[in-house]
Amino acid sequence: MPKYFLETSAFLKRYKEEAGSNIVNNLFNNRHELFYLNLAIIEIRKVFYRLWKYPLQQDDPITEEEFNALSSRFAEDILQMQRIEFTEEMIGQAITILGKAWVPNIFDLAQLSAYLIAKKEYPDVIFVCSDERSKLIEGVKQFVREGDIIVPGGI
Amino acid sequence: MKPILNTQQIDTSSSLLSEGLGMVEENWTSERRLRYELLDKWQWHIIFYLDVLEQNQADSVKKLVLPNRLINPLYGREVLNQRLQEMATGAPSIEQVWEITKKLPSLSKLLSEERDNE
Repeated sequence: MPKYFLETSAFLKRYKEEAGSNIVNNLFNNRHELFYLNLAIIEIRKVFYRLWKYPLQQDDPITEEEFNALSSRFAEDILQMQRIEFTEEMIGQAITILGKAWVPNIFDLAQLSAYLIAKKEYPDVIFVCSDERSKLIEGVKQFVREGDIIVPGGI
Repeated sequence: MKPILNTQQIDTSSSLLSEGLGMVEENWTSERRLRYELLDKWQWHIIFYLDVLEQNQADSVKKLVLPNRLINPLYGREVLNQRLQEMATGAPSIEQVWEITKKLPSLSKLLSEERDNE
């Protein structure tokens, strides 16, 4: 069964119809093994909270009911996926990454570390990432073949 | 030069000797007594040193032992899963979610902004 590691930026494409959403949705609809890092729960819920409770000036806030609907769909999704725990081995991996590539954001670094450790167990696992700033994608390219990366919606 | 024996000192140290090295014979020469006295003082140094060593070991034994919730990454997993199960109840379809987020900007872009702000 094909295996995919959904980085948060790609994961979020599932909840908004935009460029790349169909690719992510197909991963959910077909028989695939989907992995995510536990820290993605914080990142995604944080985006939902921002949209509801802490909108910035330019944001169009969502209602509590809409917030609950998004949260509910997200919870249902992750219960079907494989949750990877952030471990101390991944801290070591993150330090190794920094010796080779500059990944400025701590969550990006954690995602990349988790993916590389997962890849040691499952060499065929594909990294799915839609990071607009492309730092993470640049980083992951230092460690795996381009064929092991999918970028829904491009960068 | 022969050491001058201080009777008072010998009397005092005699008690230490009896506690420390053991018996002090009445018929010992003053030199022998002095030698024992010096040896006895060193013994107290050693005993004191061992006491300190023992105390340090006791301190290291008393080192803070962190509770499971601070060292086990899976601590709280059941509670989190329970919350997710409750949250997932009555989840809308993805099309209904897209209807909600239609008015919103790209969530991936929002995430990028959030990450940039960290």
